[in-house]
Amino acid sequence: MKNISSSRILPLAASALLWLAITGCGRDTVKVYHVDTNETTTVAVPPAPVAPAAATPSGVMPSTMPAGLAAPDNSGLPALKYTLPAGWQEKALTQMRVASFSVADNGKQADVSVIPMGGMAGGNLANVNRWRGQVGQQPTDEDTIQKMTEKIVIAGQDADLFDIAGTSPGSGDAERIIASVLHKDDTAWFFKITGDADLVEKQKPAFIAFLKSIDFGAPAAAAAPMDMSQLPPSHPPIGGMSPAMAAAPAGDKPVWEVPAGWQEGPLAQFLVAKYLIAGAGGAKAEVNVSSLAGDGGGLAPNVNRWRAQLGLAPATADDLAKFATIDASGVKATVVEFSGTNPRTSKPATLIGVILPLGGQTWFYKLMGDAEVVAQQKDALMKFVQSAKYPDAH
Amino acid sequence: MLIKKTVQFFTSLKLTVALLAFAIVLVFVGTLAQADEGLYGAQAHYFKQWIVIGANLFGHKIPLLLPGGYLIGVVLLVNLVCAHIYRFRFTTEKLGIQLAHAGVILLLVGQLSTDLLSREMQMRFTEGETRNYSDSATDYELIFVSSNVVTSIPEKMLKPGDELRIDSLPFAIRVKAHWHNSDVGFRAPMMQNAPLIASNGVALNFDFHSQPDVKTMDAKNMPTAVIELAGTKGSFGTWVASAFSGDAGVVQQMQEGYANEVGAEMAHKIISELVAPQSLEIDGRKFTFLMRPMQVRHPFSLTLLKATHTVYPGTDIPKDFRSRVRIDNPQTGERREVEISMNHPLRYGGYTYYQYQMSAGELVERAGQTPYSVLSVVRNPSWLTPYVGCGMVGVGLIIQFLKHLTAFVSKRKTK
Repeated sequence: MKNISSSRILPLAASALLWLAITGCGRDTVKVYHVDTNETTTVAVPPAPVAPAAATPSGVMPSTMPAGLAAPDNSGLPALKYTLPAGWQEKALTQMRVASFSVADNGKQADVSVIPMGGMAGGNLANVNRWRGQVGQQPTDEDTIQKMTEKIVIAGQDADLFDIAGTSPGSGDAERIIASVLHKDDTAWFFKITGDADLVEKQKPAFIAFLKSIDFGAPAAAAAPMDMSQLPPSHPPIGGMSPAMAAAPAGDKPVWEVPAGWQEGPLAQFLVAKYLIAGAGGAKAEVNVSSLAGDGGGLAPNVNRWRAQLGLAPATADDLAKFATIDASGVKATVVEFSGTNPRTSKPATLIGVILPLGGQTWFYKLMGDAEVVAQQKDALMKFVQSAKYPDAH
Repeated sequence: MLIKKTVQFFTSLKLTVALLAFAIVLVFVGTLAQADEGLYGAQAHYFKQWIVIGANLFGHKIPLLLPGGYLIGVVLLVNLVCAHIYRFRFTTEKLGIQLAHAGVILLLVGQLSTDLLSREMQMRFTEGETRNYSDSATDYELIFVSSNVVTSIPEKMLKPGDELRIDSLPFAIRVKAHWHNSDVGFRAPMMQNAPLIASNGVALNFDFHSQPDVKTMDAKNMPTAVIELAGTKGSFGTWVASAFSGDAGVVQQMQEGYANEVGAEMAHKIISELVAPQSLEIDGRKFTFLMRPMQVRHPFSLTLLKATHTVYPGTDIPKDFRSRVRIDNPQTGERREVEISMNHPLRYGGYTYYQYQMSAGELVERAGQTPYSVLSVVRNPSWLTPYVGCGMVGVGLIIQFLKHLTAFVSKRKTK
């Protein structure tokens, strides 16, 4: 006996399938909705962590703060060459690394990295104390660091080498870091081997041989990001770019009245504009313009970063409260001026900086170079800053 | 005649056996293939699929044609439902069998609806922050924000070569490239970098390139798209919209990684550039855009009041992770505080909030960082079906066995 006729089954089964087919749809459609006006729709960057009290022994501030992203001269763009030591395996490059290797022996692992950073990227004190922290060592002071510094020549230039052993705070294993920082032009090259303490110690000769084999090669063609707005719309595509890319406007760059005698320099990482100024008798100075989201890390870290570029100690709270201001783009911009010595050239130098917060961004103008040239160009810098028309300003 | 044959086919026991046999083969192949394709890859290739063409086993491509998990499940469901209806008789004689069948049907329907309707999300906030949305754990969206209007385009809709025109946007979006997974590289100074892939924004300082899909559960795909925005008079330029710039969790991990390599100050600068807002201004309206985890909006909000990470005294061994949150529901006027800890989730508004990750405790405070907590948010409207289905199957089988047992015992007694 059948209670339900077969003709009723098909519609039921078909409806079940239809329900299944339409359920779950609607996720991949465009949605438009309103949010509260105070809801942020961008990613907030956590502020640079304040150094823990233990990181500054005896309450002494590091004399050299990380120097930030000054302008590396990208006009040469050499290729990195080296001799690969036996047993080193090349690894896929991630994020900041331009060379990356792994070394393994009896289940023990070590990692080798090469990272170029624009600017000084921290003095030895900041770098060494960071590495010491990574192997569970307490921070130390300049004198101790000076005593533990080994010298090495990389690509014909003197560099410092540091060998730090300790215990990983995470795993409790014995670890060792051997690292060197080479300052070449405006770029700091970090070379580092880190991993199992015994293996790293065993690999030290190989690592030193690797450092000595580093060769930056012959300068290649310039490949710095170019200002494509200078090209006419009909310009043919350039080196791998689509016509649309080549003809596109340069984006969020402000428009300025550039003073006479300022030559546009090669744009580099994180720079919005760069100008070179030539003075009498070979003296020179340069102007860098950059911008960061939010307050760009705050006034004090940026002022101290600039002070460090002239070998000066960090500013006190009183100093920070005394800076002059100028009116530009309807807001007050802070003007700072310091004189000191450029640690890289060992020549007297002056820096005039203008920090201008505008529309959720902070603009940094830096005129730095020979004291006489900087003094002559101070007014020109102020006029330059005041002439700026920002794309996002309303 | 045709109807009769179709009904016979869909109600036959042979079909059930054949489907179960295919299911055994599929589960076997799909499980082995996880070694080559990863968990999510194998799920998508074998189980969330109608037809499986070819398999990857032991590093080799094997030519193979199998019904996929969806096809087996749906046909099995139809088969069971049809057989159930076709042979249904309201009699106590078959009550156990009928109940067990109905339980299996419920299990199949429940699994299918879980697959289609359930969502796994995350809610990430620092102490003091309020969230009225959760982020998808796996899906991303390209959003354009102007004033307080958000236009959300699912990342899956970005197909290279397509041009998207959306009513709320006064420009077209041309998709020049789209990578389901990608990696970001810093445009290194003093090195020959890859050609620029876009003319504006974050692409000027960072390189993005395609990567194969991730295979492990602790990694996730990070999509990147190269888009061109064009108005009626032509192109406004090209930009990169990448999850690396819009996923707060990944951004924080990258910042910590950079800080280890080059120091906190420098890491802050690099990350500030990576997440710097990208925008386009047209006719006085500014459109900011980014690729971020897909948001699911809630009609209520949670505020993280306190994230607590305690360890056993004298050790670094975690003892407890606990988030104290406040629920604010403007619709019901509800405002109360609750604690979410390991094994003590919060069930509210159709969502379940589990304690997932945390950065809190003495070390975090000493480093001057704000503690944060990540809750795993699960919405599964059919979460009860496995329990009910298994219960029905169990009760059905018990009834059936008891019936046979009593019949057997009474037969022996009569002898």
